[in-house]
Amino acid sequence: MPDATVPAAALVASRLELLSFAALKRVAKTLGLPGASKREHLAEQLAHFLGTPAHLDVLKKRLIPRDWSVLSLLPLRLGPFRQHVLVGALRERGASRADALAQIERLLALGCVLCATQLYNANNRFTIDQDMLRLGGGNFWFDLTPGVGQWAAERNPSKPGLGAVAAPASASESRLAELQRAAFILLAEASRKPIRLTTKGLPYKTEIGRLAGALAGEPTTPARGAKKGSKKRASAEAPPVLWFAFAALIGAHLLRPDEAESAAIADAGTFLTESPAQQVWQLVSGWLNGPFDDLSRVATLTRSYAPDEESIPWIPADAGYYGGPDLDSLARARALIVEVLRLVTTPRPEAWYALDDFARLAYDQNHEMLFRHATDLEFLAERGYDLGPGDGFLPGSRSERQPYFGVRRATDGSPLYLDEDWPEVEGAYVRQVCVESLSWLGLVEVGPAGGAPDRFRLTPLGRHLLLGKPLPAPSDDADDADGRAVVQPNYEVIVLDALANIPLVAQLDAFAERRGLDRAAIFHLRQADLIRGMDHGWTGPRILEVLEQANGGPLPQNVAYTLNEWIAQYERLAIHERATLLEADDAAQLDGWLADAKIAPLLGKRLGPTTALVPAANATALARLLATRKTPVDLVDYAAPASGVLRLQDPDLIELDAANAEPYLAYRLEGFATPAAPDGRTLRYQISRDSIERGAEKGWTGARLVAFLEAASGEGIPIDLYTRLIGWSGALPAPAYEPLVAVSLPSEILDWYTLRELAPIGRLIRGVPSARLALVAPGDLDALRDELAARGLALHPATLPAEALDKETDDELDDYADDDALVDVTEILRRALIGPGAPPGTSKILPLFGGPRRRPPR
Amino acid sequence: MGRLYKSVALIEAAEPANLDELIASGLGRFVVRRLGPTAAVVDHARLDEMHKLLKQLGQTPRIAPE
Repeated sequence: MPDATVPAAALVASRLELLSFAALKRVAKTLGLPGASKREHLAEQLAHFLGTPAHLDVLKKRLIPRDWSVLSLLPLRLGPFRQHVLVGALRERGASRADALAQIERLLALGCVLCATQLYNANNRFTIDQDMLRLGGGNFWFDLTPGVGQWAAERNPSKPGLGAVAAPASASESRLAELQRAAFILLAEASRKPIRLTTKGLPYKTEIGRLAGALAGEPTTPARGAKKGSKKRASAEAPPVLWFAFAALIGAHLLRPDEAESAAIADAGTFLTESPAQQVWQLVSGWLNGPFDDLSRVATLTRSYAPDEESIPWIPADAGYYGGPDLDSLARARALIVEVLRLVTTPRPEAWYALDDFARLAYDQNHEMLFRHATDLEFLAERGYDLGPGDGFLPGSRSERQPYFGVRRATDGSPLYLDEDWPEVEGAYVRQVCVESLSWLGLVEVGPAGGAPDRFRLTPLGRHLLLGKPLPAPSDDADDADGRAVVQPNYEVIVLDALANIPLVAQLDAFAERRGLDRAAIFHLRQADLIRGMDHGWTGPRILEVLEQANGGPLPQNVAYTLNEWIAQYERLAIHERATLLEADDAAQLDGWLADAKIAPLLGKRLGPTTALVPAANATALARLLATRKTPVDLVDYAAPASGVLRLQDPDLIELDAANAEPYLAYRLEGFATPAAPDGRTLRYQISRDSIERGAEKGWTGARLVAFLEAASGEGIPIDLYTRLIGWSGALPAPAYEPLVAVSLPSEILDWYTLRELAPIGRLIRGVPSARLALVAPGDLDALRDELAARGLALHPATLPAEALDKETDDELDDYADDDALVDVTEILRRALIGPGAPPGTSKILPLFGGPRRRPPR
Repeated sequence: MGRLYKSVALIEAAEPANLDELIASGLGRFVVRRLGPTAAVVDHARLDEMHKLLKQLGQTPRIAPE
């Protein structure tokens, strides 16, 4: 049953806060308590009285049987109830309309019933009088004083009851085994890999396929010998029990949604090692509070405004908007069913009962178990308003039928009406819960088998959990875990009765490959799964112990040998991927630290003469402690790359202060450079063709080299060093050359762009680097001379001035720079090949490999 | 002055011979420095590569929790 989340005293105090001072005084006077001059004192006095044995003594003298009868049934509604519910219950017990209001007033004054309605604001509080009750029109909410419901139940002789019926010719056993399998599969799969969820809290289709496949007994990994890329297994449909199990595990917090990961994570703790009864009790609690939609499982009903996932028996977060019950309504309905089940089976726990009779009895306890009903407005108020069903309800018109909002007949879509069609809605719901949900939970069995069941009875587990009856003694010795499985020489492990040995199945699932789970569970011992288990904390000896115990004796020799080999191999080597390491200046210093009473507990294993592991959690405390001992340590974090520790010198030198030297930096530098003779306290490394080529074999590409050196130096790389790095690392294709003749046309009124338009000249020109410079193949020079001469331009050989080759280029680049236009890098390089130095405007060049580059001094 | 190194990748063998054999078989290119007979600092930036090599060598190392 859902546990109360608010302590009783706190609940009473919060309810009393809603009453006016006059109302509090009336309650105190009715109960014979002394008054108080201040509101808060009086409220405190009442909070300490209501629900106590002294209060009960007063009620025993003041309440009539009809009062106790009504009060005993209200707890079945679980939580606050509306005024018209109380009125309806009193009228069913023979009260007139006027009497019912008067009786409510009296129950309020006696403190049996508490107001649970906040009136508009804190300045308006509830008064106990009939005018106030009429004001609410039946919509005020009330609560039972904690304890009153139980007293009433004990005093009320007329508890809900059912007559027994004959046993069926055959009965369907409970379907608990299906639920156990589904729950185990969900937890096992979620442990291996969290179940990814959509924004609506449902598993993705691929996840559904994975889970359904695992439930259908498909191997969790490809079978030995399967080729990579072989046909994917067909995605299995998720059976309803999988959804039921998923919802129950979510409701029981055994699967915990992780919003950050958008996944459900297994948080089962010891669930799988608990007894079946304890497991089922947790699943019952999970089902009561969880999002499984039992109503959608009623085949004769359909939702009028069903969301897209109509076929999934899941209550969406926006349920209720589309019509039909929401999560709270279903939780209360389920709890009501379970409580009524407990009450009716108490006198005769092993009897069979008719499903229809049970459904009627449950419905009679609360007609609003799933859907709100309109109030009896003619009785309670002169005006009416829409109270939920939206099909044109008119105030005062008691003859108006109210339809079920959001639910219709599946056969023809015709509407159903409150009260008159309850057997098809609430009645069908109660029957569905009995036949399916309670059967999955192992609480009931139904009959006759094979057809439409019409009766039920509690199973031994149901009698145990609901009525406290002892469970039948197990047929075998529960403490004897031997011989529950068979370990075969082919490395298969078969658990003979899987569902009776869930703890063992869960253990095997941790370190073996699950190949099937039905009546028997089949596992296969593989090295990869053994490693998986050991990665999660299983030790070799423990694995062997579990297998030997389950097998009831020693393992087959070959299996034992192989397992020991795998275990030894695993334990032979360990990788620490993000360890913390303490290094002393010398072995003696480390000896001292390991012998120190305060330092030693912070250290881990010694790895060498001067080094020891440090648990990551102790690193900060260790550093502080060593600082207090006047032996501070430098902190080096390999996750944060070194920066600004290198000096780069053209053409091929890398320098490092000895104070900044540390092994990983040295390792990286030696990967592509050669240590050179140090200069005092400066370490030096030199790059060469050989060293860069050697580095390339180790993965030092040109880009990686540049990135590393720029980060480690904190500045750009000198041009010559940069060029050598790029060139020797093979990052650039070999540059090509072609001998050409440069022909200058130093004119403001005629340029090569124009001349090139003339076909006889244009076809002779290889390129026009600038308006005043053209490039011609040596073999075409004579032809060009003739063409120019024909046009009055006499070509003559000369040594062209530098500005004819560079200056215009510079000017053009500056123009480009000023315009912030993209510069053609290849064009600049090509120009650079025919002139000395790098042209200005280099800073505007988009670098090939990122980062700034320094220019050489001019 | 001592040093406290964080985010270090280490390989630790049960026996010195195990580590020697692995270093001779190709692991050497990932070793930053040897700490002792059974332990060495390895290149934390190339762990994937190293794991691949170990797998090729038939090794199944334990990944130690930190």
